[in-house]
Amino acid sequence: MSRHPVVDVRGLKVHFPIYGGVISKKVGTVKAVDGVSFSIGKREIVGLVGESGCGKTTVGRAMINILHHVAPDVEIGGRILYHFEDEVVDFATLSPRETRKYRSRVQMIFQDPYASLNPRMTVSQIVEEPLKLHTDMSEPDRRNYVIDLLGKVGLQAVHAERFPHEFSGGQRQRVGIARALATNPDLIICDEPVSALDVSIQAQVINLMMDLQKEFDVSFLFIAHDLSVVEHISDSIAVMYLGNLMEFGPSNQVYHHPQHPYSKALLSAVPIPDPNQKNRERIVLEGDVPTPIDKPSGCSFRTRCPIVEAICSEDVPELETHDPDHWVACPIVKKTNEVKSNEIQ
Amino acid sequence: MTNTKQRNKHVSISINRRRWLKFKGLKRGYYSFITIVAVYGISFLLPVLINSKALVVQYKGEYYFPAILDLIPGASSYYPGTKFGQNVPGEANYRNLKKEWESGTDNWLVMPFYPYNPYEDITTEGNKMYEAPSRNHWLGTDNTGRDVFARLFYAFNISISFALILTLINYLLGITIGGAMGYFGGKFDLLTQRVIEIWSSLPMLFVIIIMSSILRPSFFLLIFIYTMVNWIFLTYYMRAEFYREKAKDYVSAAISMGQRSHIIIFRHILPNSLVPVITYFPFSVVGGIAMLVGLDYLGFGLPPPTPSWGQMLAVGLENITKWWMVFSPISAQFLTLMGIVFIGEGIREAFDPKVYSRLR
Repeated sequence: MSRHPVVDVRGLKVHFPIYGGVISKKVGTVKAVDGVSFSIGKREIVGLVGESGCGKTTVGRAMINILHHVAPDVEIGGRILYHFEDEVVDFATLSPRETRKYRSRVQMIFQDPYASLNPRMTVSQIVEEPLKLHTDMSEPDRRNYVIDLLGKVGLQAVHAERFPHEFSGGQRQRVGIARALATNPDLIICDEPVSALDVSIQAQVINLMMDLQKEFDVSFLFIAHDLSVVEHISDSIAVMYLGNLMEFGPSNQVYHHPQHPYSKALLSAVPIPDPNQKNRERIVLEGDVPTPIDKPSGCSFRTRCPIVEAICSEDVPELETHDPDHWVACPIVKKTNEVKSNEIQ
Repeated sequence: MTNTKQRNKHVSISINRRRWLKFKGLKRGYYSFITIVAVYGISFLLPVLINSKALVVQYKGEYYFPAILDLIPGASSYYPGTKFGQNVPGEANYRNLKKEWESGTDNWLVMPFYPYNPYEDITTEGNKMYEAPSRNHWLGTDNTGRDVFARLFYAFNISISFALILTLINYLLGITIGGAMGYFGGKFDLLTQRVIEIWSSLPMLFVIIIMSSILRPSFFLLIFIYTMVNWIFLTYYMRAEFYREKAKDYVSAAISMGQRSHIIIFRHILPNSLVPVITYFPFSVVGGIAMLVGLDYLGFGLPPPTPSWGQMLAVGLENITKWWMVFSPISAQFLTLMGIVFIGEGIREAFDPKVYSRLR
């Protein structure tokens, strides 16, 4: 991956231990994220897709280092390296005090606009908070900046003194976006920012985010389960299944020429508003997603894969280049490709 | 017409302001609140309203203010009777002085509105035991000749102060410890919770009785003893509230922007977890009053000359035929506790997000 990355995620593992029995001993682990590697370039929008429960949100939360807060005994493996200007920062190796200093560089937009704003604070207090922490702007400067920022996300100055409960979901999400942008971060993790909104509002908010991304020169990790949304906004798409990345590549490639059988199945489920295409191939996966407590050996997708073979249960497949910049984690796809390239030779 | 005008002019109101407006709309609770707060406020001025000492004395061209000196802590309001030319041992008897001076002297004095104090007993000249209610003693006198009406009001002030201070200290401890347990979780939570469980399984009534029979009980010692027992219950609420609130995204957002723990606890989480605290407050005050009455009744409470409803009740029950001695403390307690419960009910309803949750 030859771009200038903002963040480099290497073999990220997030395991939540499960305790049980009389003496509360560890009886298992939920392998929410089990070895995920990808990188996000400067000014790049990476879409992270997958069905619910596959660990998308956990990846995002691990990247802003807030998992310990709610689950103190979570086990995190691998590294998340941020490249800020000339510094390389890994939150996991920093003390809490040092971590706070870099917090302004990575921000998050949350899924639920009703829970992500403190109901006791006015909009201006909410947006002002990161400025108070990370800049030494004077009070009137901060106010002007907040009003300016609210204007950029499509709110008005009169909204500044209102409380979150006086806004609609779309407006609240705009406040969340303004808060995330306030410190002018390098990376914003968008955790399904539009899935709680009306379809008509979704489009507005997504277009707003794309405009702001250009204006603020920021990278996005756009977590979503809606592929058409991701295709619209992202430069690259990462497809996740049960804690593993299945495919990672440029948005066009992944969307139009998916290689991994899971990506193919996922994409065939995207509704297309075109009656002429109603006879297109629809891949219906059989069975259910296995539990992340007891994952299948080898490829985690093999229990539902239409092209499964014996080697699939041997090793966990690594992401391997299919095309330049297009990575697929499937031994069968790899094998077919090798056969193809041999034939050409 | 005015209604539409108001609607056009948008005024943002915070949740707390909206709750206060709703509370104001609940007449029973709101008027109880005003009454209790007003009576409690006035009760700090009791020395100038209900007192056997004169407000102003003019004697031989000089002015004295014994009752007003009672208001100032530490100031001595003691004047011997001889100072005003009165032939009594000890302190001047201002009521008699007033009668003496009525005819043909330049000296004069002004008595408070109700010229008896709660500590005057049969040793004071002219006081009798078991006097039935009359124009002088509105609610009669008790077994040692003390005025029941005066004692009732002084006891009101002591009871409410006791319950308020007790509740505030309990809340301070309970919120801090419970909040820390919920916010930090993990081993700290586990250990503290076990300590609390052990602590709460002590038979506290007996501990209190033993302690107050060894040590001489005083106002603050009793508060200390009660606090040891009572801070626990609030930790349960706060711990659960903090556990719930800290998992919400606005807390994650605060952490991810690099906010410090104490600001997250006090500025973000605490204001959002105060609902059980505030709704429980009046009932906690009621509990504090009832506790004090109970211990005073049993004789383990405040030391004897202190006016207290529990002690009055105990004396009243020993002399059940003197109806005023039973009736007075019971009515006073009933009215006070009912008022506070009404306040509590109003607050609870004001904090209720559902509009039609009351049976009407």
